[in-house]
This record gives sequence, structure tokens and C-alpha cells, in this order.
Amino acid sequence: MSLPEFAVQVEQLSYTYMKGTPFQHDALYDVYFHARSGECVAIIGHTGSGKSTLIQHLNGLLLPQTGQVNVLGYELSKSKHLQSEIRRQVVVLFQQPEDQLFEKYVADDIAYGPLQYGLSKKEVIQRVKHAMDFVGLPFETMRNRPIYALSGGQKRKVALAGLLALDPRVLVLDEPTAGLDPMSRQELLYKIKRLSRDEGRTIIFVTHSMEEVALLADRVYVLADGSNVADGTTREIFAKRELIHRYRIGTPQSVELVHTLIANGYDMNSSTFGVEETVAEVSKLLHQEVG
Amino acid sequence: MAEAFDSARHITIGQYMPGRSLIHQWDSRYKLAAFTLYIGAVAFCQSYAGNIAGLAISLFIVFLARIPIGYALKGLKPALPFLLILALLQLLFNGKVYANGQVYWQYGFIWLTEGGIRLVIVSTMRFVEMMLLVSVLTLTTTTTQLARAMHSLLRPLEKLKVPVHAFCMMITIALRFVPTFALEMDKIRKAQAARGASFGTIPWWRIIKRTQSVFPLIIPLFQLALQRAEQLIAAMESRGYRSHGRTSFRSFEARTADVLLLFVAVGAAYLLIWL
Repeated sequence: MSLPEFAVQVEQLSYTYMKGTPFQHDALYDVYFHARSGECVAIIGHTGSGKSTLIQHLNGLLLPQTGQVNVLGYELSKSKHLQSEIRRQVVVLFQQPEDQLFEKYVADDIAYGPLQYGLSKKEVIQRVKHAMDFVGLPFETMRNRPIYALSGGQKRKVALAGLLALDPRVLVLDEPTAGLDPMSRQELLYKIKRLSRDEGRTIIFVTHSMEEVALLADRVYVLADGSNVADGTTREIFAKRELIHRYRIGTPQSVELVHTLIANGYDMNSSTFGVEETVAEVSKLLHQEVG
Repeated sequence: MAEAFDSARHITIGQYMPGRSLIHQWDSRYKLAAFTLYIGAVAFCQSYAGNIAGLAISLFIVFLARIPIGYALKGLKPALPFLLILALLQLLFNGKVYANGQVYWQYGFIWLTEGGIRLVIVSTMRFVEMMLLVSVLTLTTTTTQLARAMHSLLRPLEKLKVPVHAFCMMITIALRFVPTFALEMDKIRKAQAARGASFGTIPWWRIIKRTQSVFPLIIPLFQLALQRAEQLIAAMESRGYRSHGRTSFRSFEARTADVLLLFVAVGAAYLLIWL
């Protein structure tokens, strides 16, 4: 199947929760969002900025009230068949995904998705094995572990594996690393990077951590109060000091350092953001100073 | 489909709607007493006239509380199927029990009688009235107010060693978590839908399959409920919760209007029974 240029295209999307009740409130207003096939896009913004509402549109859990959502070349609509097809290709990892595990044993839970889509038993076993090995849960030793005996980080791996077993083209991750210990966090980020860089899957992730944006994202969308306020490549976004301050986005330590140095009169490239890049820039600076 | 993930939207009982209407400002002890009395009267009211008056009064109370009438009626929507089935069962199988008046039609054990029809109409009206009243009560009263009112009304029972405080606490917690669980259920439902679950697509006659299909929803929900209970216990104990010798921050102070409104309610209740 040929890849469409855009995995996800959202245009002029508005959404109101509890519409028609006294509790209604607008979650999205005229939002646009694009992700090219194979791209890794970050969505950032404060709590209540509409990030979670936006991503629920990407696999048809919510249908647009106004505006268009086009996923993998399909226009989202009420059609059940289409929704099922889209959900198979676009998976969403929600916040605290460990809450959704319900089977007793690890492999059974991971197999749930593929079984729902009616794959053959052989195919399912193969996919579960592949997914488990990928997330770092060895199939042979872990498949019959009871889920309640797992640690938080391991449970999250099970949840991720459950989605990967569907072999999705687009992965949407809602704060995938929230609440994990630093070790599990690093490990998970590395896995996501592999999914994006090596396997060419489209990744869309919501995060509060700018370190994660710097590490993973090709492009960034900034939302505030349900509207777009900025978007661009990760480099462009981090170079805009004023924007960062206005929306109190918070910057990775590397960007903070670069901006501080520039503010103190050092001649540096303001669009530096990666850790390695920054190290190179700073050491160049140090050499100049010494020389 | 998207509507299916919006459970919280259809639950009007247990939500609180801030406002400054007469009903909102009514001292919650008197309000609770009045509502209980009036709902009791509705439950006993057997006549058409009484129920028409009851319905009118209930709607008037909704109006007084400044709750959009459409919103209050929406709470009935989820109960509609039960209401219809119940009405049908009553109509078909209760006719003989309430066989006063004319018998319209009879076939085997199915009796269509005047008494039976009256029962169906009256009990449906009653149900609507009660739903409206309970919705108004919870929409205009915070759960803390409600629990404290209950506590204060039931206090005499403490003399009989009835654990009134514990009981009221239980009710408060139960009411408090209804919307929370609705939200949580939506969340789990979405998470499972995102990995291929489709709820409600298996026909009802395949009972076992259909039951199994909700496991992915029920099991995590129970797990979360138990977790939440544990957290709540820890939070309460760490803040020094004891069930005895508690005082409260606000004290009740009834004004004349509160008492007057109670008398109005007593009057309305009397009217319903008398009609």
C-alpha cells in the first residue's frame, strides 16, 4: 500500500464537551494539525489546552463537530467499518495505560487487540511475541506472568506491546512517560525513537517534558486554551525565546544554557537544542575563549 | 459513536449545579426534610389528579431552582428503556391484581383492567416526578451539605447506637464518586476501543459472549475502584480522620424562610395524598 503524504490532516476542528448541557465547555477552537507519514510530531501545551481532545479525534474516538479530520487518506465519518479500519491503523496510548490491562496474564492481554480484529491464532502469537520482544519483555519468560505482579514500568510496556501487536501505521501517545522512574523513562523513549526512526511509523506524542521534545520530535505544535499558538520544526520553536516565555513552555536544560550564554553576550547559534549539538557549540566557545 | 463515550453527560443525579436560586439557598436540613416528605407523598399518591398536581409542582420546583428544564428531563433518558419494559410488564401481568373497575380484555393470565392501566400511568408519572425531584435536590445541594443535613436529621438515632456518622459518610462518598466513575469508565472504554474493542455489537442472545465482551471494561473499573478506596483511606487517616467527636466548620442557621418553605412542602404533600 502506498503511503499518503500526510498521515494525519486536521483542519479547523472545533469541539465542545457536554454540548447542550449547562456544563458545556469548549475544548478545541479552529485547530489545525498535520503529520507527514513517518514524522514524529510533539504536541505541547498546559493542562486544559485541548491536547487530549485533539488526539482522541485522530482515531475516531471523537468525531469532529465542525471541521475535518483526514487520517491516512480517509475522511473521518460515522461509518463503523471505516472507524474500525482507522483504529487498527492508528492506535492511541492513553495516560496511565496500565489501568486498561484486564487479563490475568501478560500475553493474553497483549493478544486482546489482534484477536478482536479476527487474526488467525498463529498470526496473533507471532505478533504478541514480536511486540513483547520489542518492548523488552522476553516472550518465553514473561508471557505467563500474572499482570498484577508486574511493576509500573513493566505494566506500561505491556500496554504499549498490546498496541504494537496491532502493527499500527500511526502511534499516538498521550504523555507516555508520565509517572515512570528515570530508568523506565529512558528505556521507553529509546523504544519510541526506534519505532519512529527505524520502523518508519508516524508518531504523535503529547508531553510536558521539553527534553523529550528535543530528543524525539521533528516538529512541534503548541496549543493554548484550545487553539493553535505556534508550530514549526523543533529547532524553530526552541529558537523563539519570546514564545517560550509567553506560554511558559519550559525549555530543555540545553536550550536554557544556550539562551543564557547568548543573553550574556556570547556569539552562539540560537537554534541549537540537542544535547550533543549544545556540547559541540559550548566546547567551540571554550576553545575560542582559551585561544 | 462519539456520544457513547460521554456517559457523564447523561447523568443528572449526583451532579451539582452552582446557583443562587431560592432552592439553592434553602437550608439543607429543611430542604432534605421537605423533599423526603414530598417524595414520600408522591410515592403514596394513587390518583390521576394527585399525580397531575404532583407533576406540576415538580416542574415548578425545577423552574424555581433555575435548572434548564431540558437538562432536568435529560436525566430520564437512560431510564427510558426500563420504564417502558416495566410499564409493559405491569400492563400485562398486574391487571388481575389490581382488578378493580372494568375488565377490557382477557386472555389466559393476561388481564387488561382499568386498575391495571391506572397503575401503569400513575407509576410512570410517579417515576418521572421522583426523578425530577431527586435531580433538583442533588443539583442544588452539594454532597457535603446533603450529608451534613442527613447527619443532623438522623442524629436522634445515635442514642439508639445507630452508626449515623459512618452511614452518612458512606453515602457522601458513594454520591461523590458517581461522576468520577462515569469519567473513569469513559476513559477505559476509549482505551479499549483504541485497541479494537467494540462494545454492544454482539447480539443479546449470545449471552456468554456478550458478558465476556464487557470484561475489558468491568475488570479495570473494579481495580480502579479498589485502588481509589485504598487511597481514600490513606488520605483520610493521614489527615487524622476519626468518626467520633467531629465538629464542622459551618453551622446551620435556619431563617424563617427555610421553615416557611418546609411548611409549604408539608402542605403540598398533604394535597397530593388528599387528591
